[in-house]
Amino acid sequence: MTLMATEMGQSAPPMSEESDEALMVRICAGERLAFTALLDRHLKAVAGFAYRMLMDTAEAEDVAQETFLRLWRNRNKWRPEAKLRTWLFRVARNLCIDRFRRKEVVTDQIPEQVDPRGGPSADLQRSQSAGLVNNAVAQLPERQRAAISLVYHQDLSNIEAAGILGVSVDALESLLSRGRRGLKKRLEELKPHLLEE
Amino acid sequence: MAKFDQSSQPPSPVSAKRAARILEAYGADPARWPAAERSGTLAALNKFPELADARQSATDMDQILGGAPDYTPSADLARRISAAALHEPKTPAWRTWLSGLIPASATPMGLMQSVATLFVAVTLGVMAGAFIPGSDNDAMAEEFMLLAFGPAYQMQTFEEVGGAE
Repeated sequence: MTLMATEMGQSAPPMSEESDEALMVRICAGERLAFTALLDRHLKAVAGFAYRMLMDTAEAEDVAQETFLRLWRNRNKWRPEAKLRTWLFRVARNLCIDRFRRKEVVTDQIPEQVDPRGGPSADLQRSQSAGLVNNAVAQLPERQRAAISLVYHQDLSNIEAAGILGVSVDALESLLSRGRRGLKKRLEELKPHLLEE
Repeated sequence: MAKFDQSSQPPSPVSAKRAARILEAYGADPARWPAAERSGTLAALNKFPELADARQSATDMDQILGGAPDYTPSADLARRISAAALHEPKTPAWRTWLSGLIPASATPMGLMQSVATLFVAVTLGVMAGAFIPGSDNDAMAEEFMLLAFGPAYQMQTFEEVGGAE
């Protein structure tokens, strides 16, 4: 059950069906439940994107938290012409880049490989394969990784993903192609094994 | 995921080269292809058998990428963010007022210059007040109050209003 449904009771609140823009108007008017509704709607995607970028559960959740707190703090500066989802992913990506830079200064370690499902019930073999794929994705350049995550894992349109990355659609396609080629190269030896599952 | 566009309009023609590029960039799932080229790409795949390898390769990569499990944040993350937002300090009125004065495009150097100018002006004002000779503070205050309240006003000392024994 979603956080908002928990707070509002069993019946689905009509606010959850409102557009992002309508919810932002409510948030600007100080309605905290509208903020909760936006969290319910976008948190998983934003945290998922941050996880694909950082491959670190704790850091991904920190990025997701900071992204939504920035939305809350800056709610009065929001303008209806700005698409909220684009703004959220753009802020999350910038926060991820900040963390890359800090890591590069301290260490160039490979990000941790965590099965996000975790727990002893997770299938070990599948988890290992997922770890290999995640490892290969983690080694891609940041922009290629972001492009693949936005289009493949977050199912954003090419136009929206290009807007988030601040590039043209042609450039986005180039990032996607190079990213997938890079992944293929790294996973070439593992592919038959991965495809068996 | 983007819905498949089942438009009744005839698809714009997509070349074999362009279809291969779309497969390489977006994968084999039509839902991820650019909406405007979706129908045309499907038609191209039917028309050009030489694209079969590219399509299979894209399908393989989709399966590999799909093997990575879907990420689910901690159950309490939303609650933590919501609680943190509730405890965010309210923006003081003076900051809102100040942010209205400072344009978003202001550069740090420009702001520094403005602050420095304000500092110099205030310092000169204070120095002028402190060092100008011959000022009689009580007389000036008396004059100020007379101007404000008229001739009926008479300045009273602390003793006159019963402040001392």
